[in-house]
Amino acid sequence: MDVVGRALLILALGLSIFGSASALVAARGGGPAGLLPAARRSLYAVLAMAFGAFVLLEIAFVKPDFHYATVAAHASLTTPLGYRIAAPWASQEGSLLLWLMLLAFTSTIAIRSLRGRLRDVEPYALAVLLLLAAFFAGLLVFAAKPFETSAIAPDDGVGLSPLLRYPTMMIHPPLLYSGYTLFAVPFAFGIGALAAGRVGGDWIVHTRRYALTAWLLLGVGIILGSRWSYAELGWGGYWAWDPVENASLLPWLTATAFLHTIVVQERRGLLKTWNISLVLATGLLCLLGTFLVRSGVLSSIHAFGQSTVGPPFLILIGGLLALSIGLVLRRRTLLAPEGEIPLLSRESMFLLGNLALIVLVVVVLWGTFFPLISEAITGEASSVSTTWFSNYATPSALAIVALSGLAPMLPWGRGRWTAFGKAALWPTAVAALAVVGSAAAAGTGSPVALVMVFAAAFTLTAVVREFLLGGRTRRALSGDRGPVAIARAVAGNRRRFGGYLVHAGLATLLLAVAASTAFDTTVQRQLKPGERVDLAGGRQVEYERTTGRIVLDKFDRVEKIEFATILRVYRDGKPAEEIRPSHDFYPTRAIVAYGPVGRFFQGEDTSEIALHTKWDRDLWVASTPDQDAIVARAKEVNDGFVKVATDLDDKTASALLAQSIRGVIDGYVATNPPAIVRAIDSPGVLWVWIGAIVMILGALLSLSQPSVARSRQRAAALARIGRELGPAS
Amino acid sequence: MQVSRSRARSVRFTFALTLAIFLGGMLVYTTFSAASPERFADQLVRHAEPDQTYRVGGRVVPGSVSRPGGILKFRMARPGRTDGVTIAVSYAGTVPDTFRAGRDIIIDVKKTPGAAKDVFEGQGNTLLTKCPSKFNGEDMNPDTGPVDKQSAAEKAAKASGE
Repeated sequence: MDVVGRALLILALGLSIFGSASALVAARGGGPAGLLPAARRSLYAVLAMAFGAFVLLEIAFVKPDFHYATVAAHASLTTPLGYRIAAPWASQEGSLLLWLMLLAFTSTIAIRSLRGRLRDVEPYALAVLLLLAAFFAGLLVFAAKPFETSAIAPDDGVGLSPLLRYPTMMIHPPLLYSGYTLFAVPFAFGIGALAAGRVGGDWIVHTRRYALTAWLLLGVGIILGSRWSYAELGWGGYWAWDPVENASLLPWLTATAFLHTIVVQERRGLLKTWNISLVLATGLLCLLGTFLVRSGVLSSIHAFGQSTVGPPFLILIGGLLALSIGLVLRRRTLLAPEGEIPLLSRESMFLLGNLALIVLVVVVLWGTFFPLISEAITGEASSVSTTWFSNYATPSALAIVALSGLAPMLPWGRGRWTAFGKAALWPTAVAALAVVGSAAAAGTGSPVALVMVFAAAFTLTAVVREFLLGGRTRRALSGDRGPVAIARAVAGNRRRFGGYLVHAGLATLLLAVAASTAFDTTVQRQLKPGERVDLAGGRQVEYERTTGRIVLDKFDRVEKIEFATILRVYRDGKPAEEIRPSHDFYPTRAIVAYGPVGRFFQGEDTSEIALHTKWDRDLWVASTPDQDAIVARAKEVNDGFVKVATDLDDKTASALLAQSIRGVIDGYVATNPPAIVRAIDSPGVLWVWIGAIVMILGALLSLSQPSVARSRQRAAALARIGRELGPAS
Repeated sequence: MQVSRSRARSVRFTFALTLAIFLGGMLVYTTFSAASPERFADQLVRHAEPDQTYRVGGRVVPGSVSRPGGILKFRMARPGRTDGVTIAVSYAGTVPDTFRAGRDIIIDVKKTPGAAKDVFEGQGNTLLTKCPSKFNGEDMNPDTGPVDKQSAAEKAAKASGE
């Protein structure tokens, strides 16, 4: 099976190179007539090869076959089937194979659906897509080999880290990769449009749905990663400005920018250079993100140590960057604008929003790569803190939220100040009231948060106003009333109203981020039984006791040992609900190092948080038992067990071992041990997730609008029917 | 008319370029001012300014971890160095679940005033360990010997009906 897997990857590499070269020759007008169809068939074959190789790797994980080095390192006999299926993308090799397969899949869909529509552009785009496929196939053949095997398989593998055994983590990486690979489509067609000199609006119209789908998938992937961080990791945050988090955010931001300004190009023929640059930047940032995750060039929680795939990535990114800049410069005459943008217009707001987004991109990119930049300039690597990122991101975030509300109020072309003032009246009044209310409730300690309240309330009111205006217009035209009129207005222009929903979701999300970071209370203390910590709003948390238990898996093996911390919440001095965060110890197989008893207490340990979510605030609590005491007791019991177990038969020794483990747990619990309690009281966290869901719904609504091509077909059919019916008499 | 439009365009361009250069300059200046130098443990022992925050990367020395009174104390060394030069760190912030002896970490530290030259205080919640998705076989069981092939305890737990 490993030989077949390797052969499939080598074939994928060969076909990608052949297809890319053929498409390029066909694009330049050379070669025989069948060269372009051959290139297309190469792409389809690459998809089949990558899919076949991925299925083989999945089979190896599902079995699991520990002859494969990657299976032995990322799966074990005790890893549940669902997580074994997801384990390939926990590895470098499996991730890159998934990238190749998804790239081939999205490229195939794009090439098949757009065939014949962009005749001059398609061959170049096909060449670029197959070049990218060749790159990833090359990595899998020469650098990160998923089908590397050893002659002697270990009895068991290492398995997934317990922290990754979380449902959303099964789909988080595929969603990110789907976003990255889908962005390759507009990138490739952008290169194709420049190379072919067809820089009008056609290629944008035809690839916009790919860009929007990619934006949606990447966004969902980012939010799922944040949710996992908040609910599963024991630090209580959802965004840490880690280089790898930043790497996924950057292409999402540039894509957000161009999804707005391509509308300006479609309607007014403006911003061509800007748009093509953003599309190309997004494609390159996707590659840069993969490079950051996979190369280990920057120290972060995701990337410790170096790998061998970094230099090839740099060569690819450098080459494509040079190609992109060269093509834009070569076509600068064709990209010249066909008019000017008036100051008071929807397009000027789009452009300002773009500038805010690009400033944010520059800041994040600069901060992320600062260790490398500072080392290159001063010879000494330095890095910036999360506070630095937050301080610089805040002005852009405020501007983006405010412009999300301002843009819908303005018409395309030149607007009038009086009409604008009238439109902005209600949103401004509501926003002012919201600020007064927030200041009364939470104080004026965080002016930035109050400015965000103003911006978000303004935008939310502006969006509601747009929906009401849409309903009113519908009523005037068709006589529909109330919600029916609004629903029909939305159904009639899903792209536009979907965009407004995204704006409302973004305003909600960023307002919640501001509230939860500006007004949170964090307490971390070691508590003895009966001690309390004070939280905001007259709440307290009291530590009552610790319990311990052995948790078995479905095969009756010890999955983990759980120490739960029993806490009581007090509201205004009165006892309320009980909460039970726990700290779990997973056994390590290192029996020689820690002993037969000690290995159950010195493997991986994870916090299972207690999370109480209410509409207005979250209470997040994690606890850590006295690990020094547990380990000391385990060592003591282990020494006693080893002394007597050698003289016992297997059955008796096993029974004694079970008693010894239970003895460590019960003995520790009986001492009424202290526990380190970390409690975070954050207002509005629920609205971070609600805002994200509204954004997703908005994007889905936009995507449900029939494509331009389909609309054109329908319009042509209606026109034909009209002609056949003849002029109305 | 054509001349004035072209002139207006060049004025706008000059203004935008000046603004961009000004903002870019601010960004560069403030970043260099706010950044923490990155060091290894042995470099910090040789020289560390009292009020300077350093970002230090290194490996947690096995057997050095303790949590007296809920404060995490450990020693860390440059990975791969065998000269025994380490620093002592005390840290009161959030400890990631993946923190363990033998693993690589990153933490912001300041020299402890009046203490020995190898004693540092961890800052805020800055302790970083590797993301769980980046573990491989060697990382999961640091400084261990051969892996046991039996599951005596699992059998025992089953036998005892736990």
